Amino acid sequence: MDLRSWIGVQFVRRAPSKGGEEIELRVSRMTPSHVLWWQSHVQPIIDRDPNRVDEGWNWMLYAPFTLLVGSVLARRPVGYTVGIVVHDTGHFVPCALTLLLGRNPALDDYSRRSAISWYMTTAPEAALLDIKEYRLSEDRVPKLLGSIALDVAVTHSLNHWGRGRVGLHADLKGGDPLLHWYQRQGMAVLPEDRRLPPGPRRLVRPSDGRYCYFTVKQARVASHRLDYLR
Amino acid sequence: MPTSTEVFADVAARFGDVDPHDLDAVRQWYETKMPTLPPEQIDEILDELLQKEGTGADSLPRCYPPSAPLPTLDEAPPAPLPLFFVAFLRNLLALLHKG
Repeated sequence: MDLRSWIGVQFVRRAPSKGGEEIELRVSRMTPSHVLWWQSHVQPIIDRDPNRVDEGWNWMLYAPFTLLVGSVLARRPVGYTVGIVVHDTGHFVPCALTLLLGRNPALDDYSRRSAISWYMTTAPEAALLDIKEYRLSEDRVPKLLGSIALDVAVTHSLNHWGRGRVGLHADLKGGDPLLHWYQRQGMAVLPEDRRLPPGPRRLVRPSDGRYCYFTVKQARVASHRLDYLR
Repeated sequence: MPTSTEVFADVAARFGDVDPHDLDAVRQWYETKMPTLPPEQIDEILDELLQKEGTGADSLPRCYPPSAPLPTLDEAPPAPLPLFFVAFLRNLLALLHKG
């Protein structure tokens, strides 16, 4: 029995940095000020790189589902921001955003509940090094932000009836490197010939070998891997 | 896979009678009008957006708000964890259901 799932699992609170020092992080529910800062400061830098999967994303469109109405909707959308805690100036520097749908049929067992990651992004280093209110030195840039953003989804699922189950679709634009990255995080890939859970998506966008998911067991392993940062 | 801005614009045009080429109007509709709709209709909108994941393009003009201030710690309280007894009860129910 995993005691943590009985008492709730903490979100990650630290990240390693290039210089070896641990950086204090905080996982917060996404708010309008996070989204506004991201869209005005980080997204323009992301959009300079046409190879990024998140190029052209507009968080001002996505966020209203979670900020304003999430808890009353059937799919329970919820947004999280991972940010650097700066005690000296009292600032919170968003460095990863994730938007989840908390209540969906699991890809490995349609009768079970799973979280689905709809949007997930991390700030490029250039965006974190170019903030006028806060000078971050290069050796203090947090690492593992992608793994931490994915861990937020797993932790939400562990704490909200999903037992760690998370599903997502690896964007085609990310090609094999993105799919392999999710596999290295411990996710399984739904075979092309396996059907998606019942619903219109089964027809509109059938399994294409790029749907990834954590089973309960895989989620537990992935979650334990980051325990040293909680 | 995310849903493209083009799909967001098309859905706003269908449900909100907004010009899909005017990204500012589309954004305003999602921010101000859409949340006032009945939850069943918002669910319908969300379903529509999810069904069209991976279609359309991010071909609309980029939209960046004017420079916004860095959030403060007060604007970012730690995400709440479930209360101990809720987590306990949830697991107990799951165990009973399994048994």
